[in-house]
Amino acid sequence: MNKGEREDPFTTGSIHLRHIGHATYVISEDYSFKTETYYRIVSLEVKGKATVPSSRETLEAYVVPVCLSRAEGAGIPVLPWVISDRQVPLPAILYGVHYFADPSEYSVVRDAETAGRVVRFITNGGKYPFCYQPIGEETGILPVTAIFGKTASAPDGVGLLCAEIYRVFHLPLVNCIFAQTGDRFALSSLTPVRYSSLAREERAILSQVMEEECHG
Amino acid sequence: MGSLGVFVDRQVMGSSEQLTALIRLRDQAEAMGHAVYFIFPVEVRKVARVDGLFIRSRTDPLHISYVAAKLAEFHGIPVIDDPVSIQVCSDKVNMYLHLMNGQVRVPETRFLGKRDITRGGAEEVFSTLGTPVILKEPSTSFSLRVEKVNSVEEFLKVAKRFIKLSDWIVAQQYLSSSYDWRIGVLDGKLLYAAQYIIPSETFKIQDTVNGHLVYCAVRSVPAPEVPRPVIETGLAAARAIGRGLYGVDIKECDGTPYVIEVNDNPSLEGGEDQSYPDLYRRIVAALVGEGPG
Repeated sequence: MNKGEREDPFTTGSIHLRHIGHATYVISEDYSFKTETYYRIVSLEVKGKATVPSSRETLEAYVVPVCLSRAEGAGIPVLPWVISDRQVPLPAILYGVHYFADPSEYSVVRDAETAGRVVRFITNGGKYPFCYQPIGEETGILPVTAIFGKTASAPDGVGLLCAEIYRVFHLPLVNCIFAQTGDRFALSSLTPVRYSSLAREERAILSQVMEEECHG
Repeated sequence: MGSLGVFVDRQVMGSSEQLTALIRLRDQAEAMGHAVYFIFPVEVRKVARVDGLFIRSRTDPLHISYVAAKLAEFHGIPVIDDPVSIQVCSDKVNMYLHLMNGQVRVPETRFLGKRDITRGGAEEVFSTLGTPVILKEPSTSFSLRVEKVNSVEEFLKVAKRFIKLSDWIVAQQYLSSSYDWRIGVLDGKLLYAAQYIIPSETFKIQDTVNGHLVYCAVRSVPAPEVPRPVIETGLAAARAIGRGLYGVDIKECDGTPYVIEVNDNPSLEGGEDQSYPDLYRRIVAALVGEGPG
């Protein structure tokens, strides 16, 4: 590191707490159930401290059908979702819904062979149900990183959706997975973000927002 | 007349004991004038159409049962188990934090992270909790991923396995008893009491011994025969979690009750209701009212 250069605080696995007003903001790569971050939040909550996000919000964000129901209730456009134990119309986006499901994993399937293989995997050989979201042949996937609801280079309209998603779920750092069909966007899921995946502009936003939040 | 949804899955419907319990619940609800609908995971959206929801499949915040509970919550439908009870009770760390915060007596308990899973960490745990020590992975249910360890080597072997599934795990003082009290609580009030007689081959209420599943025997105990401190401890433990339906496991050591855990979605199929004939009526009434029946 050059003299005068500040050390990057966003190292892998680091958790940053900021106390603002009556709330503790918890900035982390991953808010998944039973992670260090999740337990930090729960520990604060049990002591009666308000946290951003709350543990309830982290679960609502990462369990796909819950996330989409909550977002839809708040007026955010979402993909339709269906719980199935075997059948899936093509093409579709698939998610596991069970104890071993990884919130960062989704599969876009466009042919029956791939769909069968993915379904076997995410259902643990048929043991658990799964969630599918039907999409059109021309639908593409657009992951957008949102930092306190702000984005570095999102298309028109998506930035506003990310701000709305932050207003509902309060995850300081989150990947918003959108399905894009023409100029229409619908939320598919919310997933964790690795600090290492952040672009320079996104890191700048994160540092700037943290400073603002601290002194704001 | 109301409509009661019962959220089930193949595992539940495949168990003759659980199916019998569900039929009794259905008969009770129908006798009270309510309609009963069994809702399977692929039909989870039907939750929005019922007046009350009773979840009878395994609960976990990452399972479809949590989706059912949240959909009920979003639609303002009374639900047992409610999402908060699932979140707290399905996670031993969260559950013990709530119990300790509520001044409920539990065995000496430590929460361990990755950095504690070392030889020195193990020695520290044994020196404070004694030997043996109980290790629990937070998502344990039916006594799975609960192990008794007697040495540093055993500790490291089990803890390393558990820490792969959770960033925090639970280490707890071992308390010996030949039975656990199970205090059933609904909406802050005693629902039933039973003794779970622990099989002689194990220290858990359910275990696999030499490849065979062994279960505890269940003895329903009338309330007047249950020591008052046991009931009070059960009610206090339930209060520390919420206002739902809980099965509180309690061990008595030298006459002092210790809460071992609070279960949401407690089993009802073992004969727990034998001394409590109105058990199902009270559950149905809590969800959809007494009805015209």
